Amino acid sequence: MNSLRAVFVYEWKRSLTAGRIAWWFAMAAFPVLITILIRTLGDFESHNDIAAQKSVWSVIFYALIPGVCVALSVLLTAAPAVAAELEQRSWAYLATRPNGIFWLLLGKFLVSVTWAATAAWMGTILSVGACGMDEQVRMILSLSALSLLSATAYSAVYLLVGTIFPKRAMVFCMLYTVLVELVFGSIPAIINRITVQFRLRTLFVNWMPLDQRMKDEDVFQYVLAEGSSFMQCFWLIALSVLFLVAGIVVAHRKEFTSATEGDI
Amino acid sequence: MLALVELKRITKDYGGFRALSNVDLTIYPGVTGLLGPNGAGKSTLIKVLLGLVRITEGSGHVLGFPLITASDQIRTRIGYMPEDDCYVHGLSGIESMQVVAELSRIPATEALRRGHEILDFCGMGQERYRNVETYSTGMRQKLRFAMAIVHDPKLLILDEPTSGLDPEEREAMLNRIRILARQFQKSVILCTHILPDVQVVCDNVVILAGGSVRVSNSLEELCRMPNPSLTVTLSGDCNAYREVLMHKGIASEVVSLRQLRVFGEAEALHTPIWTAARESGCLVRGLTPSKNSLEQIFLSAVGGENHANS
Repeated sequence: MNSLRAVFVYEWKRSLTAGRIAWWFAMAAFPVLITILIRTLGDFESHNDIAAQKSVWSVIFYALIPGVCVALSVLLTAAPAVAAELEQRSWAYLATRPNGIFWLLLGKFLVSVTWAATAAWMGTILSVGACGMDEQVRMILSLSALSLLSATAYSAVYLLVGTIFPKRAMVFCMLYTVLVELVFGSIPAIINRITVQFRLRTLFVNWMPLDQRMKDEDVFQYVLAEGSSFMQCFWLIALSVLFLVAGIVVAHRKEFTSATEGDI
Repeated sequence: MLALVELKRITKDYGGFRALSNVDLTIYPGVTGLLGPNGAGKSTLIKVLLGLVRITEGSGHVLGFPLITASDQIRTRIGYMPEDDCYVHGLSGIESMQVVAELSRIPATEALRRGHEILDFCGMGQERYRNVETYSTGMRQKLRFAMAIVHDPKLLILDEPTSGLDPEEREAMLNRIRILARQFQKSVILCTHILPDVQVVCDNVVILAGGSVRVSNSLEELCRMPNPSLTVTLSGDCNAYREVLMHKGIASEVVSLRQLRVFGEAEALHTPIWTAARESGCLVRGLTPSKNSLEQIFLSAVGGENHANS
């Protein structure tokens, strides 16, 4: 645990750069700005009843916060976890310590989760406050939990992708998100069950104040998981652990060298 | 003597390229110079010892632990100073020390204390509180060395520890290596291209070329001439001096403009060397036992002329 604490503190310290902090604020402000824009320019409030409005806000927040905000935050922190050490050539120092690779990746994973979740929580509180709907506490708690689960799962996924493809980590993470999470995750077939979005979406429908008419729509029957919320959380955590362990195993098996390429 | 490193028929392939080929190597305690031209396999050998790459064939032990299955125990006991200009970005010198010490399972407070102690040993002053990105080459080199020894390893692997250092800093670095080896009984594998460094600090030498071990022996043994001789530095007419020696039945050869190698046992040569100087009108400026130079040994080993895998 001493090693984990060291990596966590070190990673946090070096994360506190002007660029990273600006990105954190941008991620936290992004859903708030969209909310303000919708309230200012959109007119769906005048055409729909309260229940429908709440549903629309719930969908928007789900897409913006546990979706875009968390994914982009994690993309910046988890995806280049291995690449950053290789580029800075500090991999050799850290990897040659006892269980160094394990502690390094676990520490970076935790920093990524904290970094993304805190930005999402800030965004949640401000956006829900700005939307002007009731049941704000429920919305905030649900979105915060969804954001934490999303940050945990996507950090593990991006860490794995970044370990497999350290040279183009962010590009491959984006490809994974679009192809697997958005395309495969929306296909009503067995394949969507291994995606993070499948479980998150089910939790979203279970937890957020959605209009019953919306829940009854046919499309929801095909893209939601069966089982309790507890089971969805269990599956999300299990997927995260699986991806994280896979990332650590891949990092151990790959012969990363921080030395100049071709140095024999 | 218990071997630190014992490798048996180690082969390492990178795809179709064979970086190490059937390496049989035993390294004993002390300071060992690991030499070889670029592409000889030195870096791969170091990575194999550290468990950073998997071997294709062979087996081995490092500090008594099996190479493949006990890399964690091996890493706990090895300190590695990479050749690259690598450091932990975004941290000060002392913070970097603390991180690597804690990663080596040293408690936080002890890691900080040890960090300061080692930085003091490495001659780093208040700059330890500065961000490492602002360090000069020499300071980075010192920090890398300090990070390698912070967890008190039994075996130190130093990859080009003196490259890029000014003469004063180089001497200080070599002195630190000497202190660690002599006073603290640390074993060191010194991987370098600077042969004079090896000459002044190493007890043993390993020369790699083309992925295999060409030479592995003690420096003293390697430098010993096949026939006993003395090197005489003269001022005056060297040819006249040689002629006088020849009349006395003593063979010699010219080493350089003012140096001769005189063959024979030292005890038997002392009197004729001085009398020949008086008779030829020369002055003896220096008299030392002749030795093979490390440069000669290196060149003949990598040139394939001397496969003295003794």
